[in-house]
Amino acid sequence: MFYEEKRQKVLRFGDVLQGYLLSTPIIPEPIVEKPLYDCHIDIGLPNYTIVMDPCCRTKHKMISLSPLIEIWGTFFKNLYLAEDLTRINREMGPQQAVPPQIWESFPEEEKEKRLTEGRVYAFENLFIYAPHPLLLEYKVPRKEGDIKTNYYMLDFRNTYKLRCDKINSPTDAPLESKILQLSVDTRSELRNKISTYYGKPPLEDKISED
Amino acid sequence: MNICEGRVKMHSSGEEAIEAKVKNEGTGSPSIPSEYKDIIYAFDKYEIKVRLTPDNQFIGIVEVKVNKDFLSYKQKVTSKGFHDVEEFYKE
Repeated sequence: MFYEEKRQKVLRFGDVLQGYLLSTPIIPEPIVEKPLYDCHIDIGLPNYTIVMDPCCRTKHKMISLSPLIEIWGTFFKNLYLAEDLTRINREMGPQQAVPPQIWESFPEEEKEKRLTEGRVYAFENLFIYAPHPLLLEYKVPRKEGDIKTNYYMLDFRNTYKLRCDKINSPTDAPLESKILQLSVDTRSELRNKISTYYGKPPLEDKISED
Repeated sequence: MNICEGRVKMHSSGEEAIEAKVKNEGTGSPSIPSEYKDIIYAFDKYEIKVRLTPDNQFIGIVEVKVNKDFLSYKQKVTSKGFHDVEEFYKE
């Protein structure tokens, strides 16, 4: 079960919300010692946004969100993923992470290198949201022919802050904007994947620690 | 009641040592203060339960046990890579 059948009256990590703006400031270069500068702010209203605050941390008229975005049509090149795109949310073997023809094209050395990684995450910054009747269906353009789906995904890199006067605490918030709640198991998968994403030290730090 | 006394030595060479001994206490012994706190200290592949007074004075080692999960958090994190596959999904 990907979603809870009954939504609790509280904002939780991973909840699907509606009605929250997305804004992205865009600058041509960092603003260093410049009294005047050019900037753009893209503002949009995504169909769905995800609560990115850890459970019970939404407060002080502020919330961390990330938009639900459309999936890539190229996922369907990989039959293992095409059967169930939420497999992207879990660890997988190296052969499962690429289309079979790509795996076969790897030199033996590359295959061995990838096999030593074992079962780890692929698409480390992405988390798939399963289809649900409350999520709008859309068309995914593909060279092989468009596919209709209501799978969506979350890209951890899109997380942003929004201020809303009505958000005072996880329970004292506009709960009518909450349309779906992840099951405990799915939320745990989301927590595990995002923790691994942020917890991964860069190679140079590992070298300097050794 | 049995309690352990012990200490953890950190050598400049990077080597570490644990010294611990069990101390037998008679029934009704008042040697343990009524107020204390136990903290678990992860040490290599061991978990050491250390007893402290409320003002963090060392009382003793209560328990030394092998951590069944031999990997430290750092090892767990660093041992997990990602499959680098995004380039194979570009149109």
